[in-house]
Amino acid sequence: MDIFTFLIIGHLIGTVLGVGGATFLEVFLNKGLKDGSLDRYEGDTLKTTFTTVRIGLALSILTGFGLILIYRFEGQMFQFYDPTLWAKFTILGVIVVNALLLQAHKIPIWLGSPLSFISWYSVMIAGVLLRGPQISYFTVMLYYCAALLIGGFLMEGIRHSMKAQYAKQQASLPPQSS
Amino acid sequence: MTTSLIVLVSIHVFAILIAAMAFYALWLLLLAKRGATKKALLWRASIGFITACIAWGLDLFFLADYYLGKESPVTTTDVTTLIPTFVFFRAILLPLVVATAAVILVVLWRKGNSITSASPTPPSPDMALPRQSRLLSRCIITLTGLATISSAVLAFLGVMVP
Repeated sequence: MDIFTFLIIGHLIGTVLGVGGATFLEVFLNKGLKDGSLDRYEGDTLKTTFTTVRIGLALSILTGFGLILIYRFEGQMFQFYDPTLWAKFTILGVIVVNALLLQAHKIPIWLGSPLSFISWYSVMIAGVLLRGPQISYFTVMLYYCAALLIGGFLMEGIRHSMKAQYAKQQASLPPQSS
Repeated sequence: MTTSLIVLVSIHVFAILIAAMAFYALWLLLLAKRGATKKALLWRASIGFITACIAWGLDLFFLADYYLGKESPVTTTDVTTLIPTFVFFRAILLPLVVATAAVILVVLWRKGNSITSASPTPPSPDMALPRQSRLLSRCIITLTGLATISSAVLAFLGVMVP
């Protein structure tokens, strides 16, 4: 196995961990927050999932830099002019800053988690589908912003529906005798 | 490029990238409301410092190559054409990152316990610590942020700028 294949596999594993982790983060968060608060077990699960996402992020960045270095050494400078690459860097910046803001509690988790979720999916889809010089940087970013808006509203809707369902279930339970 | 130069450039870029990641992990831990132990902070700071030192050492090697020309062991015509502005920018910024990393490491070593308990946003007013500890904590958070951004910029430019 040559180094290029090794880096591609590493990059894919990083993306899988990131996208998968962000997905489960959103699922666990929605399940955990439907009663309005996170208990200790839910908090621990979320912490582990956050770690998985960060491992995915680190692996993606390390292997991504490796791939760029290979392009440099092989003189494939035209790869650097791919607008999708720069769009991916921008969205990666959003993921990194979002993690910092979440950690510092400067952004509410109901906003930060979908932002991470949609950004990870956007990076993956941009890397797979939106390639070639005919797609400009602004087109990719426009798609990303549209995905953020639509995805944000959809996920907020899902969260409200889960909360309403939970409240309905609680109301239908017989009152506990003291 | 010669194989030795390719290896050196790769180690240089990855060292500064790992330093950026270690500082980022430290920054995240310092910003967390709870869960930071002195040991956890110290090993992140140590990785950042060691990798920044490796990157700086290799940078000095490249600079020596630039100045000494054919006297240096890795001299190729490629190296001498790589250089001017960016290398000098790197030659100033990289020692600053190493110095910042050293300051962070020393402060965490000596005052780590007071920083780990001095959360920037304490969970309750009872847990708020003396003003001096909070100030120290904020200074370390700022320094770590600067080290993260500087090393990330260096890594990015290192791989992008020929």
